[in-house]
Amino acid sequence: MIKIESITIKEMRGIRDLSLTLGNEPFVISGPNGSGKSGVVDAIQFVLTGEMGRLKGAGTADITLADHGPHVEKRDDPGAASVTLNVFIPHLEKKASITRTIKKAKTPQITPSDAAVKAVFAELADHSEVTLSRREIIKFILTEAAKRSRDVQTLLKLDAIDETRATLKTTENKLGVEQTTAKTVSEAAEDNLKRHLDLAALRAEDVLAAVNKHRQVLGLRVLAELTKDTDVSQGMEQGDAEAADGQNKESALADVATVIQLTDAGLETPTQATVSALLKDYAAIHADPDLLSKIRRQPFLQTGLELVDGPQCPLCDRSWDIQALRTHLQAKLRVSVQAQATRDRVVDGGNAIAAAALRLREQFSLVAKLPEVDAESASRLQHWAGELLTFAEGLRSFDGVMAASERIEAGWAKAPRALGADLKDLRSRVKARPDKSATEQARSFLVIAQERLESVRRSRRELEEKKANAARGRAAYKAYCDVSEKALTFLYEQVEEEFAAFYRLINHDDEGEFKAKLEPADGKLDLRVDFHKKGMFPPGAYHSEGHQDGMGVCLYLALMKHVMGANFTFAVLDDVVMSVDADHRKKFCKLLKTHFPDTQFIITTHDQVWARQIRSEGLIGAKAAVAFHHWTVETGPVLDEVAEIWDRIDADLAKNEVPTAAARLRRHLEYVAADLADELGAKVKFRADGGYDMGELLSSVIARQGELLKQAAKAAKSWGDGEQAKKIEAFQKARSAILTAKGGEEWVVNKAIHYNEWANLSRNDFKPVVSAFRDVLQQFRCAKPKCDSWLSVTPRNEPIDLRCSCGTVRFNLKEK
Amino acid sequence: MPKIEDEILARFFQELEQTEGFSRERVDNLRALFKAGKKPKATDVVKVLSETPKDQLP
Repeated sequence: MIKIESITIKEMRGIRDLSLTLGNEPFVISGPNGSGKSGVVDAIQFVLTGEMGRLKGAGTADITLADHGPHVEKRDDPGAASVTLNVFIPHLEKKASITRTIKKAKTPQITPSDAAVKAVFAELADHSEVTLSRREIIKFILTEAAKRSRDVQTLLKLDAIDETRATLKTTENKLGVEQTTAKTVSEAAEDNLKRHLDLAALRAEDVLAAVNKHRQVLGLRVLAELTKDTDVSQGMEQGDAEAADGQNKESALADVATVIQLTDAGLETPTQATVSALLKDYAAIHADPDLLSKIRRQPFLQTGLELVDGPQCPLCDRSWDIQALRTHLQAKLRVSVQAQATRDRVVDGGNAIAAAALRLREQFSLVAKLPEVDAESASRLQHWAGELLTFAEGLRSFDGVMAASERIEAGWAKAPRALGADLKDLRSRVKARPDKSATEQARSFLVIAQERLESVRRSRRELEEKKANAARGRAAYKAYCDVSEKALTFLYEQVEEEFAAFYRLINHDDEGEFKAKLEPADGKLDLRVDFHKKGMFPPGAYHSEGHQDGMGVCLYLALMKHVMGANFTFAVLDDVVMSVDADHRKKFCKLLKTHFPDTQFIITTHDQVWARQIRSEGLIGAKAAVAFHHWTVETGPVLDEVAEIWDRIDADLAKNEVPTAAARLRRHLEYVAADLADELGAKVKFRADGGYDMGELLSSVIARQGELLKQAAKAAKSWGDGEQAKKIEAFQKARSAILTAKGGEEWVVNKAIHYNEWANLSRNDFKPVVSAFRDVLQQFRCAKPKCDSWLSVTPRNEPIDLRCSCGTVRFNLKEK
Repeated sequence: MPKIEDEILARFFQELEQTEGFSRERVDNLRALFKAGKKPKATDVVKVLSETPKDQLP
């Protein structure tokens, strides 16, 4: 994706004004705790994402980027707090820059402003995980399975998969409800036709027999078959059909009788099984207030998840971390599996009863229209039909079904007593209708039969469509689940293999057969790791803190490899292996070098030994490091830039700022002396607190170099290698010239010891001091500009070579 | 590099094209709905799954 060429940070967090040149290569920032290293990490994260992870999450309720992102002295001037990255984009082979200020955190300035470059930064904005702290890596390891699943999903950008799955599930449910409703309407239409024809079932031959009987009365042709277009009243005169006005005594009596029968038998009978199941769920919910609370929050969370679609809260307009909020809401949805199941059952039960209520309403509506119904009864019947509709509509939500619990328990369809009397009175009145002529009765019978037959046909077509739609909804959901499960299983298998391979590389000595297993299930991601072939255990069960740190980094690297592939071109590792011992860190360097040769790792550490080890293992070049010495509110980090130290000292002296130049040189020598002591294996008195004196270190380093050169000369002689002997002699001469010209090695040592006096020197007195140390230090490094590495001994315990990184300087130390 | 969710969606649509009841037109409509970065609502998906294909009479 990108590599960082340089970074400039102004008035951001603890940094006032800092520029670092990284040169698109791995880079180390070292320094004690509180020296400002993490400010650089925050700045990189901010310029790329517009956010700062440190200012979010637990314990940061009163902290905001706008208020607390700028340096404390600039907290009222967020426009002054800025970060600029100059980068190289390998796949575009282009240079670009991005600048972001706290004031306009959402709108970075990108140059060049072309679509391809902007797309790169847009994608990076979605990958805050390129900066990684120990706090973050360990969360992949030491966490419960559900949280690990969330964190890993966030890292792998899998949230969108869950969202799509939820959308397809809701779709399936909605189409299912539509089918159920259509079925109810269709069954009600069939009931009406069956009742009118006085049939128990709608078999074609029975329907034809019923209608033909009446057609014959009218002298109409007998219908031989019933097709989807058959009009059972065909052949009737238009006027006859209208005169029949749809009223038929037998049919009306049948409609009234059905309603009375239902009333007598208990109207809710067809839903008895559903009611029984609902009563059990009611009891469970009432017994557990927590369950009810979880169920009620489900749709709220689901709605919230759908509405989280912008960078700001739609209510208070404050910025939020959209990814974190989505993950949080999804996690809450996942943990209530039981609540979701109960909720689904209750809603399904409500839908079934609603369907029955609507069918019942249809029947009441039919009889309410009969001409014998007086105004008062009509009002009661219509009111009851309306009641049933309201009741049914109320059952379309969970809360509605809960609110109806008393009515459902008591008998949801229990009609008012007066209604029973109304119906019986109605039956008497319909019976009392004067008998119409046979032809009039036949006409009205056929007109109603045709109306109801059409209604059945319409509702059946509708039902077929809804069935097909529901089948598509089920098929789509199943297909997505199958495909995503397969893809995720494959992904996790790849990640676990890579993770274990990385870990084995670091811990080859004691866990060379390490295995790991990532198991996704029910919104959880279980991680089990092998412990010395004694079985598979949670990572925190037996492994040490250092091993867990190692696992965290390995899992992170394996995940990133799969998330970003070839685009994993840079990552910031913020003090991530602090619990790993020196030997394993060495192998960690090897892992980064061999498996991620194209990734620019920016590593921060408070451990100078680790910082040196990164260089001695060749993960970074000689100049690819900066050491932060200390930090003050006024200055921000005070640092020693290995690469540009002499230029900076010259600049100080040009401005006659001798104390600044003196402090810079002193810090540089402190840093370099420790480095060189380590690189050359100089003998110094061990100090448990690491508080080595710069003068003592430098003295030992110079002495050690002299010893090594003598040893190299002896070795060359023993091999009869005249050419090498000449090279060494030349080197020794040059070295002596530098040292003796200044009064011998003692001079350097004395100057180093008395560095406290430097600040009081005049510019002209101090310049030779600077020049002398520059010359001295040059004797310890390769002169080739591209290499410029310190000379070091290899192997460290029993050296056989004194050499630079590129091999231009190489002195054999082993005699024949 | 294609994101995992995009790969899954691509395979999902391939699968649907082989599934009864999913015409090319319907799958294309779904594809448009789930186009990169879009987050369709369930009601929109219901609409696509309920549409009568243009080559069939309603």
